[in-house]
Amino acid sequence: MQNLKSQLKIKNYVALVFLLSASLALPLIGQAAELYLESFENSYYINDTFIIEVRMNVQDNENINAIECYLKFPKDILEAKNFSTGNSILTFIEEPKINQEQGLISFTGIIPGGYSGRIPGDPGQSNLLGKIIFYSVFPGRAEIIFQDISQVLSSDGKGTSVNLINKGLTVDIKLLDNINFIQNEWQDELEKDKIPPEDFNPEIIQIDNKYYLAFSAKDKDSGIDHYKILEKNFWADINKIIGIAKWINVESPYLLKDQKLDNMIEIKAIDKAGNEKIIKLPATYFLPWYKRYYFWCIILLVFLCYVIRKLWIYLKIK
Amino acid sequence: MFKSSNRFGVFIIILILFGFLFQFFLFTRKAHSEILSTSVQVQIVTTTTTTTTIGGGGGGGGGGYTPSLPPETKVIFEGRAYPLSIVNVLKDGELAVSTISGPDAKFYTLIEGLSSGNYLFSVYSEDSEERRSVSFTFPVFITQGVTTKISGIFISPTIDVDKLEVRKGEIVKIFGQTAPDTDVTIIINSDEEIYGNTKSDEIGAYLYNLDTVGVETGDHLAKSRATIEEEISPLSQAVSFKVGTKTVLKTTGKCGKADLNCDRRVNLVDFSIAAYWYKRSLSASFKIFEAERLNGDGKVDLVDFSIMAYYWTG
Repeated sequence: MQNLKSQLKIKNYVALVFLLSASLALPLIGQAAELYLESFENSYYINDTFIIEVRMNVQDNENINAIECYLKFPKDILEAKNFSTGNSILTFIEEPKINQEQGLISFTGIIPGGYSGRIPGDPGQSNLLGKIIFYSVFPGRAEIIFQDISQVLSSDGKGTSVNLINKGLTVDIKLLDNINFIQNEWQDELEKDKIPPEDFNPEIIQIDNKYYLAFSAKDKDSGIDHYKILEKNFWADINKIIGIAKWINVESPYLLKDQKLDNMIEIKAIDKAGNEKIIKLPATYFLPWYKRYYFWCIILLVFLCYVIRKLWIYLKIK
Repeated sequence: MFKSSNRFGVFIIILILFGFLFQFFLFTRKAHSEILSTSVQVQIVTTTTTTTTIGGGGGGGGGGYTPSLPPETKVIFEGRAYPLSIVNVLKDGELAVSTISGPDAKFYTLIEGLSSGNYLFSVYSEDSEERRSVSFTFPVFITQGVTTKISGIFISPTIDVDKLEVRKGEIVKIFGQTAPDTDVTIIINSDEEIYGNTKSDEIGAYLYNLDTVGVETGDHLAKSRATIEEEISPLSQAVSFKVGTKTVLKTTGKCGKADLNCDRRVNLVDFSIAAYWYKRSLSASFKIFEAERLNGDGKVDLVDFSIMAYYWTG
């Protein structure tokens, strides 16, 4: 009897402490951001390629300007093939990462000026952060979740962390019963994308007394896939004329080989459908006359003409 | 009279009541700040425009039909900033167009030739003293062949103070610029919020003299907002000052917050410099920049990028 009474007292106290915690926690509810996933369908078949969209909602006058997102997916059921930044409201700090071995996807980016949610009258869903392209390899229930280490920061000038609500997604992968009906949502998007990336403005910057090229292009369809650069000099021009110009894959910021900045630079943004946008940066510094190759070509031409003329006169006399 | 177990239970009940009272207090404060911050009357209106030209007839078999021109895709921005101020519109973080507002602070500008898709537009202005407003940022989905009009933009006031620290009892001047002949509310955040009212003059300049005799000692933040007719602007940036035992005047620094290359702008260049140092050990020289212009924790991480995004100018 004594034991029963003391047990009851303990239960009462636990309930009271719980109520106390809840009452103090209540002010936190309502000030949050929400990360969620969307797919076009709830189920797919093996060998289907489908798209999962990562989106964000903002609640209660909150303004968000930085996001760090970590996702976990079942690596035995799904293969993450690609991550599309097309139409994303984020400016990505680094390329989104896919780790198939661990079943992890991560991306980090900022929203200059912040994001407070959709504006009344906006005809589209403009809260897209990115698209993950999955390929289904095995049947089963594929649960894709946000990891607790994901965070969003407030646009308050101090980077204060905001309460985050995560909503993952479960997709059923079924056995294929008709080989003719393999879906490829991503291929459909790539085939529709005929528009090159938007114009962008590369800039030469200095880090630790070295010159780098900074660039960031946007693509409103399939998203930027990679960048290539061609630092122009005499041999690069010759190579370009004969069709063997060496464009190299680069990431921003890129350490320029030509630290004297007296050559033109060409940079190419290529989207995932293969459309290209080339931007040309003129030389920053005036090239001295002895470095201009066409000057030497003219000298060589004049010299050759002189030699030929002399030879002609000699042969004529002879 | 009471057993210790009963006293403990009473103590817990008092704590719960305190919790609910605290929550109620915060709710009313939040509701009040929501009233102050619910100011956006921005609206988006879309119209489809087509231009068709039909060629005239005439002798000799001339004339004919000219096919209709492709519909225009454009975005129109209109609103209120400061009199004769530069209004900048960023598209996806990059400067797309600048215009100058009229003497009545109203502005109108447009961007053409966009392709269909999600865009993030930011609008901000610089006042006559080159102080920058908070960016007004909003995402919009643009459809090909549609004119999208974004109206009702009311740029928040600029704000500054004349002292970094003020001796208690002295005056600290809070000033800035907004639309002309506008009611301006000054909000001082401290343990207890203080509100003040003033009015901007014909060039939009406002000034509020805060008597610190009734202000608690310590750090404070000041913000302002403008009200004209039924329009309310968003809150300005917060400017800090301290009420203490001495007066320290504020001097204008050359390099602003997040401006890593000190060109008075925060844009892709600063972003790229920070991206280089992201998750890397900082060099001795860059540690100084990080301490002065970012959050000063000795590393470049998401918090520093958040600060950069806040001060972004494009």
